[in-house]
Amino acid sequence: MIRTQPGSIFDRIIIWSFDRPVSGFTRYTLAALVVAFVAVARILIIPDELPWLLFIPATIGVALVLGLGAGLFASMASTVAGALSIGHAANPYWLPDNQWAAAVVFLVILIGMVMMTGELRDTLRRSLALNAELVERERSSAEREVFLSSVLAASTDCIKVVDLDGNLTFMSEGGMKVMDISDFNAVRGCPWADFLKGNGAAQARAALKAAAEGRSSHFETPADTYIGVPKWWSVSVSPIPGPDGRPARILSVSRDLTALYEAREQQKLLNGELSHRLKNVLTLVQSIANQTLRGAHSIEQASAAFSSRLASLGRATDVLTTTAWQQAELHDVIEAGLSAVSGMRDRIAIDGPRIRLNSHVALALTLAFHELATNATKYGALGNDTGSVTLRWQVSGTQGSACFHLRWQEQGGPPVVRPSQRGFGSRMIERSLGAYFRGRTVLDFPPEGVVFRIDAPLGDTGELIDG
Amino acid sequence: MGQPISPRSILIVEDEPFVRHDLADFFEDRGFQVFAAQDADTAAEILAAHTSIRIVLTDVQMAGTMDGVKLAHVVRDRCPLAILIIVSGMGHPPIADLPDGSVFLAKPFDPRHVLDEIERLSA
Repeated sequence: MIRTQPGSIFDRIIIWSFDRPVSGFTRYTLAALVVAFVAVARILIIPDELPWLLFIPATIGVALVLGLGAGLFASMASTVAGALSIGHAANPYWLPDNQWAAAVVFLVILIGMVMMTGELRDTLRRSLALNAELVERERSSAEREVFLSSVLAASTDCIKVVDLDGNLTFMSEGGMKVMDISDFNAVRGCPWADFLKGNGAAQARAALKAAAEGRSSHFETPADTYIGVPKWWSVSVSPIPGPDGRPARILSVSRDLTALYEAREQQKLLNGELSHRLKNVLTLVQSIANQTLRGAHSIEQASAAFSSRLASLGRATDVLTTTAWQQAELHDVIEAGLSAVSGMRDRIAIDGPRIRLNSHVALALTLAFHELATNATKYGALGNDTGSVTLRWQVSGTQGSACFHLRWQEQGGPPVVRPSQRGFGSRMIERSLGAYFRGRTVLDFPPEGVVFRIDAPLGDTGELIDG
Repeated sequence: MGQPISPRSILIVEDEPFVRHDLADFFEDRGFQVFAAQDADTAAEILAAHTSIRIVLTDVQMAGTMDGVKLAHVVRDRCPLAILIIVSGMGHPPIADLPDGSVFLAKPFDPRHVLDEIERLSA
């Protein structure tokens, strides 16, 4: 077991001494002082029969705290001090013979004990160093683990480890979040491939087989999360080599592709929608061409009229494109319709609230304004230098029963002559435009100036823009 | 004009008025009695009121309770010999969805081609 703190008092004292290294001189001086102190204590309180006893713990203590050298020095100093304290000049050799023998035995035993103590001290020092190394290693390994698990947790991919049989053994924290799994134990050991839908299960089994043989693979598949939310995933499967280098486990990383898939589906839908609109516009153009040619007096006249109509239709599609072909503002529709007479635009006074129209009505009304404006330059109020047009509209009633009233009034032009034949414009306005608005559209030819009126429920065709 | 005493009747079902009226002009010019409807529900009413109608030209996408394909089935159920021409700008519906003997044309189409199909199916 690795300890970060010393256990016993014994350990603590030695470690305390390791932490406070002192010079050799100090060590020996301290040893000498301890021995001297014990010697004085011996003389004062211990009877002569036990001269060595007190020196033993003191010398061992010195060896423990100050090291082997100081211990050996203390052993010799203790022996000398002990011998001095009990000897007497009356003896031929200071000590009686038996005490000489005791002194020698004491010294030998003491040296032995000091050497063992020194060894103990060194062992403890080595063990401390080893311990410190292990503590450091464990700390860095824990750090690495925290780093790896925080990386796994931070990933929004679902990172899984499966065994070679394809059963789940691990799932990253972030992975559990995206898979709506609150407790991994609920799925631990389950076959991973069974979580995938459609062709995905078979693809997963093939990928697992490949990984077990050491190959990586990738596929895309639908799969529900644990609580049944349908999603699309990009899945990468690769082998995790064991110590022998052969695949020991398998890594499977699934990335949530749902948003991308939905965008792709949306794109497909938009493309389909675009193709549909394009065909509808082409069909409309076909009808415009047919209707233009029906009343044509010459190819040249028909060609000019057709080109002019297409140009105004083109401007209307510009307006509609900005709203994804949902709707167009009446003001913009009028500008698109009047583009053919833009040089006389200041002779057409426009006044009315902002109204949004649906795309079908917007296109039809553009064509109608185009016809009114071009006819006005040919036969009506814009055909001389003084005539003018007033274009006014308003909405009466409220929300559910709102009615749209528009009036195109020409004045100041040459006297109006009712056309003998109904041309494109008349047919368009009186027949088709009324159907677009599901209301009444009237084109009248009083001598003082052409009048065109729309009176229709606003309902499905459009809405008033507040403010 | 050498036409039979009762001219052939055609019902045109198309929600875009300008296109509907143009097709009506085309078939009127060629001696048909033309009925027109803006949606399938109106078309069903017209068919109920005019049982002589044997030719129906219908768009697929329309507002209302029925689309053109459903309308074609209603017509086929009532009149097994009716000539059904189904048109759409949204691509070909699955063949299995269309009534037997009906003709599908993608928009935009040439109305003369519709005329040819009517002649072929009337023969």
